[in-house]
Amino acid sequence: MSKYYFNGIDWIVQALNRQCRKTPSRNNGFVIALELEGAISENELQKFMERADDAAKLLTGKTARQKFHLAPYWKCSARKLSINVEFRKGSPDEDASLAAADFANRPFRGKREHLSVRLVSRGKDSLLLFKFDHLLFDGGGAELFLAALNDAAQFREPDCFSPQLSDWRDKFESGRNVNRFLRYINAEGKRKFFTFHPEQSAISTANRFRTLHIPAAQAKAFFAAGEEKLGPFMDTPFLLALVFGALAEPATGRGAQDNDFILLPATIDLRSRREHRNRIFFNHWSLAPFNLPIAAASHPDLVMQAMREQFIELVKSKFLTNLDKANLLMRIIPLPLFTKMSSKIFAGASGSCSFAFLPESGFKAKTFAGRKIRNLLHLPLIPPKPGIGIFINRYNEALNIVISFREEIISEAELENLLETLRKAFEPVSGI
Amino acid sequence: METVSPAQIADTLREEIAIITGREKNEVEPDKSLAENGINSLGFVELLLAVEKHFGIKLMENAMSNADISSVNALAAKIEKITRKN
Repeated sequence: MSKYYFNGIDWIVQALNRQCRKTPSRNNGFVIALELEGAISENELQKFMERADDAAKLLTGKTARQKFHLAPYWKCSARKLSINVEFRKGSPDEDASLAAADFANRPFRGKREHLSVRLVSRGKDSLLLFKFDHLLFDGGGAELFLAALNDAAQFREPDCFSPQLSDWRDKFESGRNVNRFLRYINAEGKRKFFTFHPEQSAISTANRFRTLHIPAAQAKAFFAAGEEKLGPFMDTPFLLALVFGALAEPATGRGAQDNDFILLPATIDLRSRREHRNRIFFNHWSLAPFNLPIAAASHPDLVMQAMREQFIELVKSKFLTNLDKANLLMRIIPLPLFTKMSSKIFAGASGSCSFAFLPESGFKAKTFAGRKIRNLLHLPLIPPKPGIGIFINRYNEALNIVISFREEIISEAELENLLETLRKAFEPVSGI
Repeated sequence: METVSPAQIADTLREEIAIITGREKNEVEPDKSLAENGINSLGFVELLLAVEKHFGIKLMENAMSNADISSVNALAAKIEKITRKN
């Protein structure tokens, strides 16, 4: 395979990437941090990363467009893979989120670098940081990639979408349904959505992370309470309700009114579906807009039910899969124009805070490169708009909550309050 | 409504799970939990919608417990119980 034709979500990612070009990282990547017990040498890690050589043609590829169909694709390359592995000596108590932010804000070395690694030696243990390019990986795919590295498995070539923009009628129908749904959410433009944006858009600022680790026992109790209230498999709506409640206070503090809405654009992994199952490379998610008026925050039970109902409705109306299909049409739009369009659709006034929940799925191993894993965290960079996101991943039954934000977009006091609200929700007595 | 046996219901569930998760029907194990059979939250809602289509019952409106999803067979038994009541 020398060409992989993008799906619509890949093209959205290209647009988000473009929105980040004036930021320090210059792209929309993400970091996965592995906290390992024991030391690991630079040489050993370098040797270990040679396991990725099978995937060299993808890892050294770049975006291109087919001249006749205009379909964008990933142009694979025959270059030799040389993954940049850095080594840094850190202090024993070095904070993973600070180290990850430092690494995440650093740009890749050119258009053909899509993965780099930094090893921070923390005395008796190691912090291993992988920076992934969203053009080639999403969070679920990156976990599968690490699992394949760990197992020394061969990397399978991804299936290709057809470059032909076939089934136009079907795709237009999907597009129309998506458009109707978005207009319905926006109440024909009458709804006002809360954003954290300062008057002056701080698009060139660096990305920071704040993290909260919830031990396994507390996480289990939290989800058991969620199941009691909302039934099985409703972890995402339950977490969305928590995030909605936590954002209501800073929103009100910034002058938002009771009838203003908080809109949470949530990414939903599609890997459970036939066409996306076990895909390592490229993007296999859809976007689900959850929203409620701020006034609802004073009724937590209603918020939970509303999030559950919205989730069911999004699946029932086929919004998630319609978006997946309809987006294939967008690939023909020039990227600068699409970037402008997507910044209107997916950010700015239409999004208060990004959200994603990645349950334990792709990476289940308890060791990496022979070292026991203490924790695995996802730390995604966030585009200038909405400028803040709350990302939750589960590893070894415990939860990591990561607030990713553009510095200057939220004050330290607001962050502390937000973290405290989230932390309290996991305390054994209070619940949410 | 025509009575359907738990075995028939389990068979339909296995078919639907196979469609949702992209597995072969014989890969869907009736004694394993929905999660072990590849169902996640998105797939679960899709499965509930399929149950509504096939059996005319809204599982979302019936209290569901962990035990009900402990296996495909357990879910089939739950559906059979509700259809019998109706």
